[in-house]
Amino acid sequence: MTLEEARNSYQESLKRIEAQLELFWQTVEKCRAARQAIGYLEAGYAIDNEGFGLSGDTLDAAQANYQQFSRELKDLQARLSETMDKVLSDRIAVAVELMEPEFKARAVLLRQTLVQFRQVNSIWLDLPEILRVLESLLRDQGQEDTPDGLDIAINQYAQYGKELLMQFSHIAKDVEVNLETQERQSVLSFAKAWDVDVESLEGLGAVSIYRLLDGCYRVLNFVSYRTLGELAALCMKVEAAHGIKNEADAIEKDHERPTSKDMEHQNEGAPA
Amino acid sequence: MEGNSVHHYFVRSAGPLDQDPDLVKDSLVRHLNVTEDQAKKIVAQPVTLKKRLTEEQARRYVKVLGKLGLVAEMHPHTAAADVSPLEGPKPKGKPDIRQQRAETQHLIELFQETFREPIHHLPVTLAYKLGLISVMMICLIAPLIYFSLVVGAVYATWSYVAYLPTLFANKTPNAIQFVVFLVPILIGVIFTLFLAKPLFAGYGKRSSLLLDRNKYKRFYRLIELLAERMAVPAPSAIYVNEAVNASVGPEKGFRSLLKGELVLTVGLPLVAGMNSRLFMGIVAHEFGHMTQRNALLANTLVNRVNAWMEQCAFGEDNWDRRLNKWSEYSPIFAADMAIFLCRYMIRMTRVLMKYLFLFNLRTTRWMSREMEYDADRYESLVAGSDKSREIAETLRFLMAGRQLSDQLARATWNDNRLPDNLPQLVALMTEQLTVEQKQHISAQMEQSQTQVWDTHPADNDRIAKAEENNFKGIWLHDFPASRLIPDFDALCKTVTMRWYHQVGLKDVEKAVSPTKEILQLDQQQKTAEIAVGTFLNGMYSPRVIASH
Repeated sequence: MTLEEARNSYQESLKRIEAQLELFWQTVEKCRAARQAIGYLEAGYAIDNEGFGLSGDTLDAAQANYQQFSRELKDLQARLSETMDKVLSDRIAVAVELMEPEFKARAVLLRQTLVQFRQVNSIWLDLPEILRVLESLLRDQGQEDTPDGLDIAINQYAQYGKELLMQFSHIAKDVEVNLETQERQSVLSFAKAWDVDVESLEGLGAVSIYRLLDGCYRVLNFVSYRTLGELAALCMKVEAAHGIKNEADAIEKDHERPTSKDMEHQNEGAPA
Repeated sequence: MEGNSVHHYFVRSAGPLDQDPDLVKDSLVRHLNVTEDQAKKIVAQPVTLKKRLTEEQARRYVKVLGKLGLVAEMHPHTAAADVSPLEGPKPKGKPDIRQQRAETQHLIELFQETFREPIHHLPVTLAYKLGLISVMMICLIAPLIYFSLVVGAVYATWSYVAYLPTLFANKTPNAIQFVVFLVPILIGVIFTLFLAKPLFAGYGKRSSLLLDRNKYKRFYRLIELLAERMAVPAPSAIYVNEAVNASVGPEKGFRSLLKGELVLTVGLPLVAGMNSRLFMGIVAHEFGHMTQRNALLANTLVNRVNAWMEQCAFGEDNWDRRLNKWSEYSPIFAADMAIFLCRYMIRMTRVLMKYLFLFNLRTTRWMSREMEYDADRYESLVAGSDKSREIAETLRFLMAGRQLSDQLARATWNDNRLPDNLPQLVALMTEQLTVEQKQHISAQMEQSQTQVWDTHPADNDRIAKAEENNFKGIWLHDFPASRLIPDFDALCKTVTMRWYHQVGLKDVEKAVSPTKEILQLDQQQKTAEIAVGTFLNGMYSPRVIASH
């Protein structure tokens, strides 16, 4: 495959990618809302099921809906993997092959990070769900007229969060950050520099767990976004050197991308 | 990351961290085995405390000092920084110090020459004076009502307690009756305590850095000269911080105000981003507030009262939350009732205070605005009426520069880097504002209107009034204001480090980098951002890309 073919192949899929991405994010939102509803129900609240996009207002109904949305999400991920990720990976692979040795070495490392990131996929999806549930429940803690099960539910979700953090800690020590602006280090060390220390979770309360989960989510978003950015910059250099132009209007349009709603966690700094 | 080739670091103090300097001093004496004088010096000015430390040792030392309430910086050793512990940083060489002295002398002479004539106090109208008195009287009404409530609650509770023996004299109550009789006491005590709580509320401590009089003799002298010419008390101390602002106020409450012990606080971005004419205009504005001690006294009183009332009206704290909790878990019905009634009474009091506070605010803000107009006249007198627009605009530009610098710092903090000199960065970002951005800011300024709740009049109103005065100005020199403060860069860096500590950033010593590197990093970050958008044709979203 030539560079041009690889680029064209990606661009030809754009419409399909756009539609699938939209559906993907809608389903992600459905999952998060369903998980939030489950959290509320477990704490003892009554919910307006339509507001959460659920077919019933019982815990069983919410869980059944959640299972269904999760299956749909898995399916959409598989489809996106074919239509977007594979095409994109091919495009990157062709460009990397044509790079000058000094750039190639860096690009290979960056690509390696992206490949390693596949290990954190399930955490990445679970983190915002648990964050949302914990946030909703913690916000109600200390208020008047809260149900008796609130504290129990908070502890339970804090425990889920702790398990996620342990998984993160386990995986993140083997995933490397290879950014130009950073020392080469593991995602775990990088997270520590962001004051997200997930190695000593003993005795932490729900609020601390929430803070760490939020930190992990930010770290993952940041590292993957910047890794992709640096790799993309290298690939575009090769494409430009081979006379393949990327549309200028896209540059203008996409420069604003990181501030969009989807990217709300993207560029936020380490907690100050 | 830089620093791999540097083997040794030295640690230098950078002022107290948001705590009473005396407490920090005592803490240093206790833990660092230094004398009182040494501790005083360490707190008051940058002093090298340890040198030839490894990076790890230096970081640990900085951390320990932080726990003792002292901001400290670690720096790699360079020839210039190689100084003895507990000594201030030595000058780089004799010509430098001579040059600095000559510069100081030159500036003092320039000041004396320029401000040959005393600046007479400008007359104020009778209406202004009467207005001040009325506002002061009005602002005291609400606290009087509140105080009466507290006294009333104490009196009612005490009267009831005093009446109880009479009540019990005729008939000994059973257990239930006894508990019921105790309820009003409980209500009275809780209500009184909650009402009285704001009377003991503390006020925020000064978070700015005290400028060492010996080290910054030049700046003190120049400011004192201006104060002398304006016939206002010279500030007993000058503080600096990272804000785009300047202010004057009493050092320690009303007593200082009555004694004329005022302090000047200067935001270093003003010094970094303005020429001396605009900056002197701003200082003259601040001193303008001091020309009328009564007005300043009234304003301070009003502000204190307003802040206190705000606390009464809206200041829920842990005790309020505890009271809510108690009402939920109270095992005795009578206590539950008492707490319920208390909460209701406290809520009613808060509503009353809220409206009194709003009334106070509305009446007193007028005075505050009039005082600004009055102080503006001194600004125009010193810098010239034709500069009032430039001052107002420059302030707004600098605020935009500050916002951009903060954004930049947040972004680079993601890469564990921070600018080492915020005031200079603010000035630089202000300089880099585009013509369109500046026009937009100026247009906003033109459109702004004075609202009843504003402490300051709208800029365009102020400019119009200032231009009406048509003062030619006295200080017409437009060299950079940073020349007024010796060793300005080092001071900016100290203030920057202090700011990072104050906002709770950890391990910043290793993260601080020169502005040039920060801008370079920002560029790298932007390149990556643009690349993601372009390469993916706007299809990026934060999800794991299943790379093959």
